[in-house]
Amino acid sequence: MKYKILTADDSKMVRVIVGRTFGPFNCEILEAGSGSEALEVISRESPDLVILDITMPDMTGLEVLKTIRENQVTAGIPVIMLTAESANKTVAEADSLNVSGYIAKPFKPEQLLEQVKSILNLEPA
Amino acid sequence: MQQQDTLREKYKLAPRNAAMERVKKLLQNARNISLEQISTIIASDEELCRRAYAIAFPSNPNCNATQDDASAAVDRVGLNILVILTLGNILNNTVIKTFETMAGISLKPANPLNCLKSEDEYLTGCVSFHGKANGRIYMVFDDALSNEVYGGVYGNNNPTDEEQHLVRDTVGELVNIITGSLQSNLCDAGLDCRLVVPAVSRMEMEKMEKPPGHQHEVFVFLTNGKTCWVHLMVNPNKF
Repeated sequence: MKYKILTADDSKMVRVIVGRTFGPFNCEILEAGSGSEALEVISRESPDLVILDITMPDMTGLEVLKTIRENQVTAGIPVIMLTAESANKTVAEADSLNVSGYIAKPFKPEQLLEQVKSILNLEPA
Repeated sequence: MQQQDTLREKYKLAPRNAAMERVKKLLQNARNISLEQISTIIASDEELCRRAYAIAFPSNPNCNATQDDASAAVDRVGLNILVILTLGNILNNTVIKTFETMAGISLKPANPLNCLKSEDEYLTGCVSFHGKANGRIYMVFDDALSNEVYGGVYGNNNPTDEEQHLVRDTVGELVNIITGSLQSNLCDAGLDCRLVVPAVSRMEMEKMEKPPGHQHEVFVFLTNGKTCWVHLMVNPNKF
């Protein structure tokens, strides 16, 4: 099965690292550079997993996450937070919105891969 | 607190570092803490003790980071300045970890007094934070370093003119990670604050704007002759 993974981050650098991490696997990487763009892609493409930054220019990742959870169609999509913000309050807020993982930047691609593999059954491309 | 620790364990997030615990202790006990207790906290971190001593006795750099040195420094330096110095230590460690993890670059801290200031324009990331802690961070990358950071991600240390926006993006994300990490530590120490999205531009160091009344700490890092300057400016009267 070819999974669709959305990486939503305003930094191209992070999107490139995420894309490279999953390059060897049979999945399609979708990209969004802002919160509103992430919601558009989610609505259009129904990804199997979202990797979500918090600090973005138009909407924060937590606002995006809340919107995903409030919509019946998207409420069940697994979301992994990938963010430099890791204050206890922020982690608790994400936890209350049922995130599947939380990775604090700076991060190693292996950390991300490990968390994604615990959710999706990734196969080599 | 236990619930917070449980959540950090659940998501395999690193526990808060010892320096942050020192900030918390200093702030939570600000009204009742004795000079001796403050000295013990400061003496438990050699680098912090040396920085506090250098501010207290600028003309006498001979510090052995003993309890006596810490006491002498604490006697002269206000509590809020010590908090800022402790934040500087957190920042120092975060910069090194971020460069290593994200770009595979090993930075070594250097003495700012031994690093020449430059009048050249360099790529500079600037982020302000506002709330119970107020300040600004400038990170200045010399051109060779910003190209190496770009190369660490894209595999090419010679970006073309068309790729300069990617160099800026890479520098901006490193600044975002470093300041985001500091902000998270501040929030967990009871100093809730929010960050402004980083702005990256080319500027001369002399043109950096220091808000009035802010304590200004400079950290310098080197790697193979390339330099990164980090300027931490914090208002010591607004904790």
